[in-house]
Amino acid sequence: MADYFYLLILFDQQQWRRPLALKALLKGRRTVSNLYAGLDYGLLSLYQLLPHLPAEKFEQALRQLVEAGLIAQQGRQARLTVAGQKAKVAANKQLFLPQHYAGLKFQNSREFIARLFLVTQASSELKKHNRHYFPLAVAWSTQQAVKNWLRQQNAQTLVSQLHQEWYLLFATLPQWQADYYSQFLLGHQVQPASTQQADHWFAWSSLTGELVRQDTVHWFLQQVTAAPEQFPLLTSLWQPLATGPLGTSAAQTMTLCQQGLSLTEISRQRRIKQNTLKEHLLEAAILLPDFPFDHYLTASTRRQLTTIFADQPLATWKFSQLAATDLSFFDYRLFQIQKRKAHD
Amino acid sequence: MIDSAKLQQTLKQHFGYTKFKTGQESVIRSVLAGQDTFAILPTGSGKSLCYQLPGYLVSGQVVVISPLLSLIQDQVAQLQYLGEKRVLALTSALDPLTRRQSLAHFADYKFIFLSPEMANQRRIQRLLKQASVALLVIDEAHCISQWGIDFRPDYLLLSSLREAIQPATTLAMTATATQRVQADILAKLGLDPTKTRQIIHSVDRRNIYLASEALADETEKKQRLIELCCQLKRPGIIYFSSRQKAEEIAALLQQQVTTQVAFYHGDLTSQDRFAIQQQFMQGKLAIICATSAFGMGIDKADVRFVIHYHLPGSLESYLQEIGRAGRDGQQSIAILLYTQQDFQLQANLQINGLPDATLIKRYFAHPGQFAAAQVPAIELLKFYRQQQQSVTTVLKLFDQRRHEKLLALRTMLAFLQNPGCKRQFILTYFADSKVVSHDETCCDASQPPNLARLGLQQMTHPQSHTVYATWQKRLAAILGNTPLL
Ligand SMILES: [Zn+2]
Repeated sequence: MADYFYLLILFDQQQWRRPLALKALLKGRRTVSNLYAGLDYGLLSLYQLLPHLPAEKFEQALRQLVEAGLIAQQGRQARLTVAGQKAKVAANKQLFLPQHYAGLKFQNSREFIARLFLVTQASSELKKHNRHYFPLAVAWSTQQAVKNWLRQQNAQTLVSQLHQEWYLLFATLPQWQADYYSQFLLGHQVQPASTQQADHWFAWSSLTGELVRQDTVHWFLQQVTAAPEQFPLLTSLWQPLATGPLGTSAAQTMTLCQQGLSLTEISRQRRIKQNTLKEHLLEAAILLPDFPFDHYLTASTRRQLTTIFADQPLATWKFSQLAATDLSFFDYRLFQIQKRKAHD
Repeated sequence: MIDSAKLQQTLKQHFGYTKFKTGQESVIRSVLAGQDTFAILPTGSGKSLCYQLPGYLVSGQVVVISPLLSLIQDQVAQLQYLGEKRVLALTSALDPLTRRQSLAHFADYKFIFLSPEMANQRRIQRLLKQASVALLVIDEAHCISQWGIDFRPDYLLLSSLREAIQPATTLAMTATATQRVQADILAKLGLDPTKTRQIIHSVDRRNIYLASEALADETEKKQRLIELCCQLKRPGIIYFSSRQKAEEIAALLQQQVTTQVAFYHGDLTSQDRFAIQQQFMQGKLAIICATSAFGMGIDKADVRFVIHYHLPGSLESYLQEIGRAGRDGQQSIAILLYTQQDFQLQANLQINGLPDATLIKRYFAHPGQFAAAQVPAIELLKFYRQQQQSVTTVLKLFDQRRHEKLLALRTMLAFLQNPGCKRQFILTYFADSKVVSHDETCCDASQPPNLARLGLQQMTHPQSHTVYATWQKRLAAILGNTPLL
């Protein structure tokens, strides 16, 4: 089955969805409107699944599906046709789909795996007492983080403990998946495969290979975070990267909010416009499980909004319906997010 | 004057060698004497040692201007491999955080590598001005002349850069430069020819047999390539001018010749490039299908053949690329395969990147209309406009450039059609006075290469393991005690 069928997975037969928002979500463009689309479509977990997805590839796949009569377009939105729904069911069976990927929960997974590979290479060379080797090509900041981390480890037990933790991880996977993923490991006199080589050996397209790799890393992180006592090394390597689902700036805003500061105070302290701070709040409202909606929507605002939108389906709400009121877009969006979350 | 014992000791201590290669010592001595130096050393002669070693004997910093990201990465990896930690690569690949941290500790680095574009950034120039630069190195200096105008105009600003940072010594190095290019390099760097020590060695690599074959069409060319890959002693590199073709032929060779083939080009991620380079270095790959991005920094001694599947754009590029063969001094071969259509293809490739007269005029009339365009040709024009060049000058510049490129290609054509000794042709072109004694180990002027007699024929190749190792085996090899076979 050709790669462009993957795109079917992102669409639905009932709900009209915006291809642009889907593409932005996959690439990890963190804006409130993209994240809201992710929430609305139930696809938030796919955040940042394919950061290097070429836009023209996405658009070409969409065109192919439209031409094949599997997707219907209406303005800037699209949904599956009856034939498209059938093809989606077939694609679900035939294609490799990520099962464990959680783009927001483990948003720094790529950095984690780069560090882990370099740690593994360094440990392997350390074991052979070899100081002359070509370190894996990673960002300088990754190198520094790994150097610092290695310095804190017990050199006596590092190699055997790391060996054991990798063993535990691989043993939880089906043989084929562990075999595939292990091709990228490197160490003393063991070279990594390139992704093209490994995909060729397993007869996968480059897209499938990428999805398997991402899914594997997230599966590893699930194992590590679920049983930290079994993975002391990997836990300490992951810990500094475990930042939660929010972006850095939004997380800072939320911390200050939780300390009881008002938006005006935060704005002054951080020299950030209030509107940006409100975007941070909306991001948090979408992504955090326990966002305090009531704190930001007064009872009277809530009453007003409830009256206006009454029994109207969420998908048909328009901000312009509030033209006669003095309610802001922030109020509107926050209310919409709360309703959307309650609906699930 | 530095004494020989000190040089020898540094060579042994930091690089593990006991002997210099041709030309290295005289360049190093010149640089250490504080003399601006221009050196032409043949490919594979260990040019990087000429600035690495002085780095350990002078007190200031060594700043290396290098044309390619992959080359910078390779050189940094090489220094790290030698145990040097004070290395900084300022490239576009740096993330903002790393960049900030590196710049904050700028003075702590001994070796700083950067592209001319990076060196011309205001912030970086300020740092370079404050630093005490003992040695400014222009690596692959022929790029100044080859790329300056159309591809990398920042190269044209190097003389003002040199003036700004006032290095104690400047060293420009290349493996290929005609006399015209030599003069051009000195002029563009603002080096006075009468005060610059010029160390010029023959560009000839006598252990590389030079051959070319004209083929009727693409099908025949593919067929011939497969034959050659089956017969030739490996490892080898095949060069292509398109990424797509490199991938396509790699797949073909994989089916018909050996599984130990991989492709390499600029679209690969740095991890994938790393993987392929390491496998090639360790002898796990027999053949690489590559674009010119591969090899500048590759220091693999035993490459036995370099095949060109497409025509190189110039004799300079040709010489650079075949120079990756036979660095161990053993007999090797360079074979250029071409069809009649290849000339047109290469001409188009060379010319298409240049902005034409219509575009230049339109841009200079209404630069605002192009503000959002991120096309290389527009970026180029933007650069010249910022440098306050007039439309007439720019028109003339590119017209001239077009002529130069076509001329370079015609030289390539003349090289291929030349009935005489190929080596002599190259040496004459580079005004190299070395005397050639043509015989059956030199080139195919009088008869086609006899691979067996050259010791380059190998009809049977050891079967490669195509099966990948299981995770259990790989893990045991990496962190346990059971090596991979
Ligand atoms: Zn000859």
